[in-house]
Amino acid sequence: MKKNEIKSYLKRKAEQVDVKDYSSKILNNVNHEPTFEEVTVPRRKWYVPIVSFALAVCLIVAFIPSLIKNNAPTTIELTSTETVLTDEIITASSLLTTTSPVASLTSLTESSPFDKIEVGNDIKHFLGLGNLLLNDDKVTSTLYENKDKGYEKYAYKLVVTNVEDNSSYVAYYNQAVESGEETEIKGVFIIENKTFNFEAEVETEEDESEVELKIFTNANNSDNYIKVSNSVEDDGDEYEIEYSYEIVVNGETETEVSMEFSKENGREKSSIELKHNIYIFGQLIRTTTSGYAFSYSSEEIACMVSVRDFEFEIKIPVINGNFNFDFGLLD
Amino acid sequence: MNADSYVKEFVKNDYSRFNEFYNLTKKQVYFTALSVLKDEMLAEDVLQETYVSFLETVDGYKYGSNVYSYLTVIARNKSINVYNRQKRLVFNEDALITQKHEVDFDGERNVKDILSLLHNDVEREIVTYHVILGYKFIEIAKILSMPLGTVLWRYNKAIKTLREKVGVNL
Repeated sequence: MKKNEIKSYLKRKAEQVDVKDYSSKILNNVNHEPTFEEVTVPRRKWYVPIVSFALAVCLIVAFIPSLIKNNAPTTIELTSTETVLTDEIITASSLLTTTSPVASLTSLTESSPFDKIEVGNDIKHFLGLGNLLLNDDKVTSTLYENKDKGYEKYAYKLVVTNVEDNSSYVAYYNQAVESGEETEIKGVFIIENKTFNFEAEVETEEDESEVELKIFTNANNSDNYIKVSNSVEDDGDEYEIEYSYEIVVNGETETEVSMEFSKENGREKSSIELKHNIYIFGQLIRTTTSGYAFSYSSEEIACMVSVRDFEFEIKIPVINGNFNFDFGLLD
Repeated sequence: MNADSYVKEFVKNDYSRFNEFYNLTKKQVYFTALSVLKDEMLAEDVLQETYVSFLETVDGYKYGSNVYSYLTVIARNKSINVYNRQKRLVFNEDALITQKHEVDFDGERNVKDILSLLHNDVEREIVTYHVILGYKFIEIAKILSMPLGTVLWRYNKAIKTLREKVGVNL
């Protein structure tokens, strides 16, 4: 049975339901005096929001400091768990680039026409994240003892490369271990030739980790930053990873992104929500939201899309382990 | 007609058109309750309680917000309260088994039976809100205080489950 048939069937059955007329009884029971009963309207959770790859830096740094040797540039092999964690964060970092869905979201207005190409690009972008997520060999991370000119004050240098498109990111940092499980990191990272200061606190346990990171987007204004929160539970066979990013401009949260990646009962899935808030003189006047949810199987990727008033689902074929996205799927 | 115009009358204790309003919104409230409670009688009780509460607190309604969502939220909260009370009352496993058999006695699947195929409460609610009540996923995310992405993939999963379980027997 097809999805639409299920929906029509359920709708039809619902239409057949005859809800009895209790209107008189209701009116008889209404106490016309005001009562103090409160209507509870669900409060929107403060899901945090957008951007960065520097997070990768933080996690990796937290996991492998002890592996660093004193000698010249040293390449360090990451363990499998660290590699998985790193991959997720690096894929998330791609949201920071100028071609990311965040950039297209922020250009949306209520009156913007539905742009098939833009939505298609976003889907491809997120599929790319999923692809990296599900394939550890798509990303390489290398940690060095730093000796680069201009960055001498930092002890470590991390280079992360996306094998798929050969893009690389570099981060320089220092770290201080506050306790056995907590590490404080401060440094800079470079993305698309721009340098950002960042600071982070990383807490790691055997199969769980939590990261809080701030990336300052304006060196002269501490009210402009990207706040990143991340939690990971990974026991090898199954994992649940959540990221939330918040882009704060002049103290106001402008864009929020929350992402979840999980594997349960052998099945991978992911979901992404993007929210862009428009402020005028400090007043929030509009929020634009879009969401994508992916469910992966060996034959296809089911993708649910919700962009403003448009909601639809597409099935993206998987051939030889690679997704085969065609813009025609959006028709 | 804008649903807010009814509300304006109710604020003035003018219920002359309540019947009209009730017929316009009753399925919204009923199916919200049914998706949580999976019991028609309890859903009807909640339906009545929801309208009584709504009318008694109608002063608090903000014009311009969605009266359907407003009713849905009241109905959902009341249903969850009833559900929690019921959970405490049902202590005999046999009673649960009896209930399950009663569902299928006539061999004809109704809405409740179909929804009952979804064992996850949230998935049942999401399917009800989207398929039966026509809410957009963004609105559902607000009602459930849940990220939109989560709503989307839970819906996807729920529909897949229904496709497998309802199958070709329709």
